[in-house]
Amino acid sequence: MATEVIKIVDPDNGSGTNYTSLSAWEAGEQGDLTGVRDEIAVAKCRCTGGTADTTAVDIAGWTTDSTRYIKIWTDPSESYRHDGKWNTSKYRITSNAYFATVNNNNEARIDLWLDGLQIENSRENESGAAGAGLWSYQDYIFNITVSNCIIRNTASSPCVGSGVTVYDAATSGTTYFKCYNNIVYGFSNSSYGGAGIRYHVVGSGATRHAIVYNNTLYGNFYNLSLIPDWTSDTVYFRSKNNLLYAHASGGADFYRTDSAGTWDVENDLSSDATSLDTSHRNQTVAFVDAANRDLHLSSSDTAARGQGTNLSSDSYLPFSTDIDGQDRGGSGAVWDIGADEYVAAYPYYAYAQQ
Amino acid sequence: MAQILVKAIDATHADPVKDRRGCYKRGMPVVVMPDTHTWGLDERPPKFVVLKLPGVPVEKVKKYIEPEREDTADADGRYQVFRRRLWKFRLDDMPTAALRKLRDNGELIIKVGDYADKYDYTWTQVRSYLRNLKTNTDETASL
Repeated sequence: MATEVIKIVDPDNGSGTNYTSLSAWEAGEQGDLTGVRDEIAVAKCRCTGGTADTTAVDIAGWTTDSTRYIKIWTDPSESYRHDGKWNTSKYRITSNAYFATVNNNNEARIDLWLDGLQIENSRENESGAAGAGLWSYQDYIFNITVSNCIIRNTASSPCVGSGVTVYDAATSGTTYFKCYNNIVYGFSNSSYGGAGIRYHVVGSGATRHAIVYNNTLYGNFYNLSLIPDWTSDTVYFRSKNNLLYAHASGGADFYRTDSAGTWDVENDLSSDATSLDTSHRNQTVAFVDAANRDLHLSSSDTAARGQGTNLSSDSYLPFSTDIDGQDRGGSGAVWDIGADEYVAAYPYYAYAQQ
Repeated sequence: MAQILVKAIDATHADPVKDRRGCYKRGMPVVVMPDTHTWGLDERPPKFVVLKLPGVPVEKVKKYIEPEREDTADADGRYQVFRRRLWKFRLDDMPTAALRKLRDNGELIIKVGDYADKYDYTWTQVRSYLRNLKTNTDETASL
């Protein structure tokens, strides 16, 4: 049984801080987790004084497997995780890095889980630069999970990269890309189709699983881009409860190159006519304050609230909370579409009990 | 107003290409922070040492934490990482007194320009141990 080795990352160097940047943590801890270390390497990120982590991190040179992996997160039981909207007093990593603010591009097996982070890239458009939030190009087996994150692009003219970019070039084995409860906006470059989430098959010979649930993707050129690229591989695309909204001019809320692979799509909502779920096309969603990217659902919304599939017992990726950590209502509940589950601030029954 | 966090021990990967591309080696700069920055519990020997450059803007030394990229672009026009860092301090070639100080105190104070306070070495002395791994020549630039 692997041991969790937890290191505290805090740019403000509060009590007990091991590293003052994620980049230094990566440099200090990188190595073989599967050998004598037999370890889950955990970076628990804090922000005790409001200072941003401003050095991009490359995750490279590690050896991992499915039980001895890398976990980078904010612990929701502490007070350093965002509250579902970009928050400058909570942990955030910001950069204008060439590839990505969080980059994994060393073409070795990686087992990585990012949870509850705020990630920003602000690189202005430049030939060759990707300027992504997370970028991962994989020639080997991988397990990559991205959950409960806010990922944004703040460049006035963004590069071609996406909020979450995964190129699946594995040539054997089984790959897993899991992405749920994330909010991604601002990746609007048109020349290469900047996306909120982009999963792109670029190899052959592997079995692949792309599982994309309950994300809110807003104002990207393509909000959700799932690209089989005419693969003859066994590829499973599972896309459910995603809220795809207000794509940038010339783009689309949903994009794929073709329909190769096995597709399991339920209740993906789009503001245009591109959702694969025809019953949720051309929808108008009421957000709390979309102009300022508070993409929580408004109490007045009827398009996304109560329109989702309950995934608490899903065979591939079961979960039961939203991006705020709020319970989505248990096994019998009808879920909302998107990263946020609308929960009344002071429900009626509380009044009734009084 | 810069401090450079420098890796003091090698990380290794069994695959030589992944080792070169991904692993930090002893002497490679990792992050750059302002003078006022305080370091965490693990950002010191044996894993790291710090080179302090009082009065030098962070932007002036950020180039030392850039990776070495491939000479030619890939099919998408991107320059992939060839080596984790382009620059590396030749720590083991530094004077014994400097190594002892790094080992014992975890830092060296480097005088740059008209800095008038206490220091260990000058930038002119230290830069001669800062190797560009692509050109295999030592730094000659001023800060």
